[in-house]
Amino acid sequence: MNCNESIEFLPWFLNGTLEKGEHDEIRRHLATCEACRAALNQTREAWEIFDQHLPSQTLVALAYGETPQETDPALAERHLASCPECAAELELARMSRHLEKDNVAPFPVPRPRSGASSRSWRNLAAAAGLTTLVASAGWIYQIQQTAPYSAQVARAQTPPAATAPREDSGALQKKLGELAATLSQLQSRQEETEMRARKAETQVAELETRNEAPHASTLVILDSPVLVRAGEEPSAPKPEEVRRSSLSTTVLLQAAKDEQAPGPRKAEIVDAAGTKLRLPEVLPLEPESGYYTLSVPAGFLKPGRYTIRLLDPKSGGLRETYALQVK
Amino acid sequence: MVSDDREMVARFLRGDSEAVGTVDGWISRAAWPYQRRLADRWDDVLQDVRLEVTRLLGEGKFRGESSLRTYLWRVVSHTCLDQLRSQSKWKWADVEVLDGMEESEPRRGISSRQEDRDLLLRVLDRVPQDCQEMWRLIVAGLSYREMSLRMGVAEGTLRVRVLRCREKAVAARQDLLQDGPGDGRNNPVKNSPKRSGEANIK
Repeated sequence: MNCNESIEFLPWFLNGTLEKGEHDEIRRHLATCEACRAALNQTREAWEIFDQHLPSQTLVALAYGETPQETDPALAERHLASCPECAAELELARMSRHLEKDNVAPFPVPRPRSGASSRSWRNLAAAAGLTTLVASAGWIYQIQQTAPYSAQVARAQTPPAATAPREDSGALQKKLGELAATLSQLQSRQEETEMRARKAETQVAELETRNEAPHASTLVILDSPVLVRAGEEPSAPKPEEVRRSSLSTTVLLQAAKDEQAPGPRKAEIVDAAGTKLRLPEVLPLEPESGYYTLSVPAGFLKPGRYTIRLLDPKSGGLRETYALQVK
Repeated sequence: MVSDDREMVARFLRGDSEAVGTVDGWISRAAWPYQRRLADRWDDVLQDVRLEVTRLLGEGKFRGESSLRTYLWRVVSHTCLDQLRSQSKWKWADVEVLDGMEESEPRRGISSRQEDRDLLLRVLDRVPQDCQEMWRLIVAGLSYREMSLRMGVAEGTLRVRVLRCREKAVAARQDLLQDGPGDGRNNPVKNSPKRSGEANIK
């Protein structure tokens, strides 16, 4: 291996992903080549630069809507636009801040379906309007029934010269007219409310289509794992369709029910081309729920089909697979 | 400082069970969003946060500029973010390769000093976006074969591009060190001369 080749391999020499032959060859070369050792130092220097992130104080200040003291705000803004890690961490800090309020539940309650929500709201509005209508109609009917009876009683008990019953009847007629006007107003308000509900429903549907509805993060539950037994070829799992999110995604992976040795797993995501995207963390099994939780940074999954493979962290053997179709 | 907060701090430091329970409840709630990312380190991190809160309150660091609750919330977020970063930091493999050999120049180690971090962020800001994306994959521990498949470029081309990006980053750092801190924030890095047969980096 000459100097040019050796220098090109140095970044992967540092991240420890070279194959043993390549690794040993570079190691031997470095031991004898001063120029390549200088290049190794420059590679480390570059690593430091590319591994820079916003200080945590800056992220906390931004989460609280303050101007950061430690970092130039414009620089912080540009960095956030290009660094998915920092953007995801800022999102976590914002969620934490949100929980400072007592009335916020700390569990990610699934966002209600927009259709169901607006339908129930519309139903409530319609029910309130109908109740008012029925009550008003009953009231008017009662007044109509009472009016002739009152008049008869008045005629029977009052001398004919008296004018009071005629005046009462006139007042009742006037009141009846007022009530009819009120009823008409209520009916028009009901129509207006229904129209607003329909408009709101359309707007929510549009927002959902554009995936612009405000939410803390996307939650995907994959509960149909394919269990892989030793020596067997895994069958293809049925993909779960999810919409691409501009925010971080939490994927809950249900452990296989007939798995003999459930426990922590290493996860890897394989795209349609077969490229493995390795994830450094080991996923623990949450014993109460029986799920593994996988956090995927914002923008990590582009549209396409992915297979999530869970491996035994000790043996490296494949245990469960799941499929995901990002649209 | 609101007298209630002052009293709460005093009671917490005395070990009053009600005050300790209240503060502990706040810590757990504030740290909840980080739970999934911290995974099996969650309990250890909570304990670290409790120790940090006890240290800060014991040293009188809480000056009442905000409510005690908000202050603790920020301390928890700050500590959890630091812990998240420390667990995802990729360790350089085989750095002992030069042990016992003379290095050609003194190596600059990672410095936590604020001005150095600020300088490195400014350097990063000057490096093209595609370089940042490529190197982020290296720092995340991807092999060149994985990167080549993922990016759809030949392995040799990829290695040359990564080398070019390294040169750009080091050159940008030199430029900024010469300019002095805070200068030339928006100046794009100059392209270094191409080697023969190398692909262009946009």
